[in-house]
Amino acid sequence: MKADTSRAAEDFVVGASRERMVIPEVTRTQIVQYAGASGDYSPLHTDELYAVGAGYPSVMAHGMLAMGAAERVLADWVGRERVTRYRVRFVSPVWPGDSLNTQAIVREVRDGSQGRYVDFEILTTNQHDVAVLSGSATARM
Amino acid sequence: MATYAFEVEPGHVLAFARAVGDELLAQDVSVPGTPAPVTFPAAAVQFDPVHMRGLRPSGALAVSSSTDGGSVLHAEQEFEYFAPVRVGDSLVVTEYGGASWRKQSRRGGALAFREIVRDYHNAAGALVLRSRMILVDKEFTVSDTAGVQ
Repeated sequence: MKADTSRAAEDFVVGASRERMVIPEVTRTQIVQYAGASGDYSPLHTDELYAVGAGYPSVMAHGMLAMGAAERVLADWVGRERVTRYRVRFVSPVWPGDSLNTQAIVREVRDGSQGRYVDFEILTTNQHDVAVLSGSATARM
Repeated sequence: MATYAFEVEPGHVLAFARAVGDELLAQDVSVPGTPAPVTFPAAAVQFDPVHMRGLRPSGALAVSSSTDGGSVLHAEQEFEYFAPVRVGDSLVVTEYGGASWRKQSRRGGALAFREIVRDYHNAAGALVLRSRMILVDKEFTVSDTAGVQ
């Protein structure tokens, strides 16, 4: 809790950013692990034969796995209890073997009815620098 | 419209944290009051009484493509919090359909979008979270284009 209370709104200025590798290597095992934890057992994520039969090169990771992994940047930097909104578009598939890097950038700091709000841009890219997840988040400071 | 109870259980949060690679939360079972990961409430479907009964998914996860050779993918997701969700919370989830619209894509053919909304209310009846899942039903399988998981 101490770390959270020490984070002041002035730490968040437009252009400030944090970046980290959130998944060094997506594995089929991790995809299965996420399916079990989340309850999303779609065969596109869990059944290689089905996914290939549907025209994909292999099973793909859940977009929500990438979204959940990217959230850790906000959790570490901002504190997840401060996040009031988190929205993403799943712009490209995530495949086994991919490594994912997430960047959060402060885009706006504004005063609202219940205090100061910070708006972030969220971008996750794979090892080819292709965006797989693109979105935004808001935190109340 | 489906409504069911969702207990934010510490063991469930631990399993979720390990799946997304959250090193801090994955260390140990969280104490009550610990903020849950922002995307964790998506796992509430585990508590839908008909989900995976007879190995069949329910609700949004049961949606299948309207076309042969097409597929339904997750295009967008939003979580809007009115209060934090914490380990130990007892919530009630209500899932219902939202907006729907169509678009034409050069590679995926006709795209039919639909929104699935989930409202999460606390024990006092207050809305603490609204999630919006946007699904896209693609006429053709396209493995390297936008809006696709």
